[in-house]
Amino acid sequence: MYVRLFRPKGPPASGRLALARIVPATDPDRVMVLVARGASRNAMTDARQYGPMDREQGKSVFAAEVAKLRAEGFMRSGLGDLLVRLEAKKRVHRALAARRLGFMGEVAAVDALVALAKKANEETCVVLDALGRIGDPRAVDVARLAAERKLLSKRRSGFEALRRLGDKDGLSEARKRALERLPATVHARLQGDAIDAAALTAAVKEVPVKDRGLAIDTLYELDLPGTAKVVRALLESEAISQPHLFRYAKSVWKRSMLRHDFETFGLLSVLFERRGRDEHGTKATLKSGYDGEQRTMLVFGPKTVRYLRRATWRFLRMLAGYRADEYALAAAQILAHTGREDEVKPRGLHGTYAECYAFSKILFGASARHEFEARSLKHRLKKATHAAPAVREEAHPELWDATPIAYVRALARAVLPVVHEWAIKAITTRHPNVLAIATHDDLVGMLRAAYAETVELGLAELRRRFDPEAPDWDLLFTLIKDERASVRALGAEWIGLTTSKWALSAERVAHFLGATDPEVRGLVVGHVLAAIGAAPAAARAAMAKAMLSLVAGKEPFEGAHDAPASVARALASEIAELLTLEEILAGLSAESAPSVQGVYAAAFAAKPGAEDVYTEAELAELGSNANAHVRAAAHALLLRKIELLRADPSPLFTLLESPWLDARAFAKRTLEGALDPGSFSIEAVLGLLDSSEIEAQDLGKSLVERRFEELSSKELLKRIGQHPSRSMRRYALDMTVAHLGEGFLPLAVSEELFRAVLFDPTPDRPTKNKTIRFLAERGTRDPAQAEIAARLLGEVVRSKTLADFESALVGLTKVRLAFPEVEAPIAISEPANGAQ
Amino acid sequence: MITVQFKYAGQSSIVQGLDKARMSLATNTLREAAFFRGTLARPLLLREALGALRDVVVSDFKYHPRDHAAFKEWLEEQDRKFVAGLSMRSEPARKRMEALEVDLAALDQRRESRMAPFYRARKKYFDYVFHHEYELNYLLDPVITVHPDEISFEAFSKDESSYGRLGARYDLFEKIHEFECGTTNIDFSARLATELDRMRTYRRTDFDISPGGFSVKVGAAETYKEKKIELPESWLEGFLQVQSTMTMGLVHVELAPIDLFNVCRFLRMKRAARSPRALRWELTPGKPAKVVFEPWEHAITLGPTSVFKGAKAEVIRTWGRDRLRVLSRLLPVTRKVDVFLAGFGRPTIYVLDLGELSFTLALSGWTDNDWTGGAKFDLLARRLDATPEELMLVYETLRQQKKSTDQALAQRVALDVVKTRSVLSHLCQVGRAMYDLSTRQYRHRDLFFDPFTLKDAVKAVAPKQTEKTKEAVAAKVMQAAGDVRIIARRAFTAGFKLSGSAKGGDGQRVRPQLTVGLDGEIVDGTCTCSWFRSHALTKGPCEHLLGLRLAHIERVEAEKKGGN
Repeated sequence: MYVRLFRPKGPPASGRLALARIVPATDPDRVMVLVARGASRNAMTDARQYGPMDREQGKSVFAAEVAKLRAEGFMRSGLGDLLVRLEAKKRVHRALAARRLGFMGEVAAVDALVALAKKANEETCVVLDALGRIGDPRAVDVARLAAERKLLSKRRSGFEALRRLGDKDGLSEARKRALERLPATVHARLQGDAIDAAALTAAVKEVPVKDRGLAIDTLYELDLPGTAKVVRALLESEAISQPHLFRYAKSVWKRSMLRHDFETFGLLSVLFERRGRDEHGTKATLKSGYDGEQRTMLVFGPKTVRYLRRATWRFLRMLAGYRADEYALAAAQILAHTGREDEVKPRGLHGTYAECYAFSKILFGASARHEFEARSLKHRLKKATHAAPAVREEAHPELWDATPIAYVRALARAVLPVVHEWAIKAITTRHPNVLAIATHDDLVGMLRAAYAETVELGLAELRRRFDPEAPDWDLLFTLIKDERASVRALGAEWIGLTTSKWALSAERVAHFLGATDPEVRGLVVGHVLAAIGAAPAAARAAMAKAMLSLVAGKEPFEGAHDAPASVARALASEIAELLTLEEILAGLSAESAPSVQGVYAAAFAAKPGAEDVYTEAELAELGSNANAHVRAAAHALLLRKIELLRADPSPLFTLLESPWLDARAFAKRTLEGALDPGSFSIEAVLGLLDSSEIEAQDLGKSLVERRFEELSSKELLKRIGQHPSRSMRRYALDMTVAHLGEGFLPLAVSEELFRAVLFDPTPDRPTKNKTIRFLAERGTRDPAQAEIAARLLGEVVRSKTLADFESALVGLTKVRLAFPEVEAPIAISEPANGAQ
Repeated sequence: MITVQFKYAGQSSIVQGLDKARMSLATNTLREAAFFRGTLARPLLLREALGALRDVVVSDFKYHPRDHAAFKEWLEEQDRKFVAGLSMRSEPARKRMEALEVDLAALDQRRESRMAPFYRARKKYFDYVFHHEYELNYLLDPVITVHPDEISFEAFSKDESSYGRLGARYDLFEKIHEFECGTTNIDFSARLATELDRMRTYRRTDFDISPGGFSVKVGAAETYKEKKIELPESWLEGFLQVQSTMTMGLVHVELAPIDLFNVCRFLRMKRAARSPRALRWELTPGKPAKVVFEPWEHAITLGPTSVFKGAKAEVIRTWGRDRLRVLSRLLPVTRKVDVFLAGFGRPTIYVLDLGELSFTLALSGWTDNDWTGGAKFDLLARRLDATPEELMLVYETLRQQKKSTDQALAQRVALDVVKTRSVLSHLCQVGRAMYDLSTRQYRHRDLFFDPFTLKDAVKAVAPKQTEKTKEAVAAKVMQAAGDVRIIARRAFTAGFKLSGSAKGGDGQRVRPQLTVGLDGEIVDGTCTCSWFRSHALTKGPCEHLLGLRLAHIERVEAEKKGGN
């Protein structure tokens, strides 16, 4: 920080010229204040030095010394000249003087500037900007008048001046007008306590292109919480160099300079330069922002781009001159936003960043090796040499050292390795302690860098800050909610280290479960479930209540309720105590996420008396529900009715046919374990055989084998013969062949089975042959059985399958020979010689 | 596209106990409240028939070309490797590349095996979603009609080429508790099809068609199963077109179950790799029918029941024979099979007598030919002009009667039989009646929920799209210009045989020959025009045949007026 003061009428002995300056001390975190006075710059006589002291103290000492000098009649050097220039004939001179006075923050110039603002026209904006920077309330009236103007430039300057002047009334009126300018759809998105950034962005994108720029500028003007971020996102995605949009993008850029919103300034400056490299402007008929006339003009043409590039660096230069503590912060944003897209192929002495004007000025502005081409604004090496290791080439190195946090800001967002290398070198060699004052966001930002040393630095600092015994919860929440996986991974690691501090705190668990990353939520759930098992009843109840409130209402995003629902399900009995049966059923039937339905299902299963709500058949139906948790609850309730199932296990047979593996497994487990298959009635055994599940059939078969003596073979054969499955049909046939009772009646009862086997077009020769042989054999026993056999074989003998035909023919012949009176479609004729 | 909505208060299900079962079919609550409650006497028969109907509903025999994307990707990868190999000049580099590729292949294999459980789980999930969504969005539930004497289930396949109708007579039921006639849809999910397999005779099975079906109510909220299906208009037209075909003069052959078994068995055993793949019916009067499988020319002479009773020999080729496979599970319970053939490349209808049930399977000329796509059966039938009032009269009478033959209905409404048939044809075309080929009766069946009004009747008698076709218009022009001449006309018991000469729009004179029924419907025909040479009657009759029929009708009417 440096001030030169001049006393035109002072005595030469006590000095006409005074200098006050803050300089860095040997210790980079401390400063010294130097004050000197004399007759001229080369004849300074009275010099005093204060310090070393810390920065804040240095600033106050500096301010006190300057005030003392002013009291002695010293005034800012050049102020008199500038005041005279405010009345110059040429408007450019007036404007330049006003801008300089504004940056100087010279209160003594306010009256003159207000007077100029009242009569000025073309330089009004500059004058208003200057008045805003000075921040003296005398400027309120002119600023209010300007803020009411329709012309964008005047309105912007007026509004921004009011903002800096802190005129609440004027601002409120101006904001009302701004809101009216917004399209209704965008306006609607600004209602409510918190702005939904995604919805607001989408609403602006839906505005026609012609009005979209104005909407973006107005949003930025309103400066509500979160709008600046939305505006930046929009500007990054929109074609800001196109007519209708460029004017407003430029307006936002100018506002960002007035507000010292360096992030927006950095982004737009880089974007303008980037677009200007490839584009040469678009001709369009537009209303001029200068005089409001409609005319055809070149939008974002080369001249405009050149103006923008130079204005960027000019602003940084002004900051360096008059707001020294802000220069590095603004410059860091330019470095941070410059990306790979801005690199060009090196050619000769022109390097990779030759076309990045502000970027090169910042990084190589003080370099003796480099030079800038004034015409093309390109930067190049004077000759091909490497920088000496100790030489600093960046512009205003002392300002960087005065604000070392700017290095961290650059690291937190920068993409280019050259920036990382430069900033890390500065931090490691000159400002090793600066990371201690970095914010969590800065450090978290460093973790996503594609530069290993930056990540290591950020990680080291974060690890240094984090104490598992006294966790920094804000930092932890920041980490787990970050959009970058690497950052969330660190958060997850710390979550594991601090489990004992939060796993039983309903509030913290709820907070952690708000993370957007499902992996983090899953991790949290795992820790909570591990801890909650042995937790005291009160803690479990509190957790159950908290989880229940978390899963109430609509999911903010898909899957948001899954994690709290997982915890809640583990607390089913506590939830069952909290809710009535009706509330549980209502929750179960509500159109909520499946996981939430699972919570109610688990509570339902845990609720005493719930088993009486449904019959066994209905529980079997619920046991095949599409929701796995509902199925599990139904299974649990069925187990409570085990005695009833013992008498009638048919609901379990239904579950055996379920399309769900868990339902089938439950049914099988229960049948084989909780129930004793050995005590099943014949109906129950046959129920098992009825199943289309092979495993159930096998169990049924083994039961039949074991208990065949107890079972009625007649009934058994009649029933198993009705199974439609081919494999069971084979089993039924084997059983029939082995055990069919004597006489016509049992054979008649099995006719359907024989038909099913014989008329099956799927080839199965052994089964068919067995059937035919069996029929032929039974057909030879008595006439009644012969009739059945002949009827069936008489049909099969017409088969065009040779094997079936031959077997049937042989069988039929046997039957016919045994009982010639039986009707059959074959005739047996005796040989002519009478031999058999 | 037509959007068809279904809303079920419950779901169709079969709850099986140890000794009793309840089959509940949920009806569409957006349709009229038809219901039925009874106890089944022969559950197995219904099981097999409903299973076969389900096979019709889900059948899609249309040709679906293979997806070659993966193969093409592999091919491109091989090309890329080959080109990369060409550009590699150094031998060590080539060897290194080969070694790396081997390593890469090993890594790929390891990745595949590591990911295999995930892929399996994902496939299972996708299968579940596909089946679930397929049912909800594509599978059209059958139309069920409770008649005074039977319950009918009608379904149309997804590929629009097969129509199935199951008629369950009330003899199937041991006891009927209550019923209300009407038409609606039933929820016919895959789950129901699975549950069908557990139906047995030894469980007393209650049969229930009602809006509720079987549902487990959770909480106080009413839950509905809703389906919304975007249906191509051709689907609905095809569904109605089937009725039109059934009323045509069809060639009839009766088969024994073993005959159909032989056909199905052959189809099961052999698949033709190349064309032609027709099923050729060779019918000689007084002799058993013969079925020839192309391209092998394998002939099966059917049993004695199939003796053809027609007047002259016929050779009819039909395609899409694989669709017969849906009848396989009915073979053991079938008593006889009636086959109705419409002609070369035209629909075939199989009516299976299952005792208390009848199952009708109507197949379009070939699988890719839906019932509306070009096969203009309307043009083959002859429909007399009818007034909307006549339509309303016949409709109301049939609604009261529920079912009737055309003669009985004609008597009741005091209209000419031919006219009544035409009116009934109109009603079938608009979904207000159906023709039951198994009993040869018309039945009242409102396919649509909206009542049939005079306004609908006016629309119904308006010239059909088919009557505005190029051929129909050209025939009328030809007839009006006197370019059609009847050269010879010979009456026989079932109609007339005509030979004529016609000059079409192209100025060419051709020789159409036509066999028409007594009502003027085209039974058979040939023509020397190029259209007929290309398509025969598979895409409807040509303009010359239609012109000849118009000339014939004009002469018949003149003869009637003249009292001759």
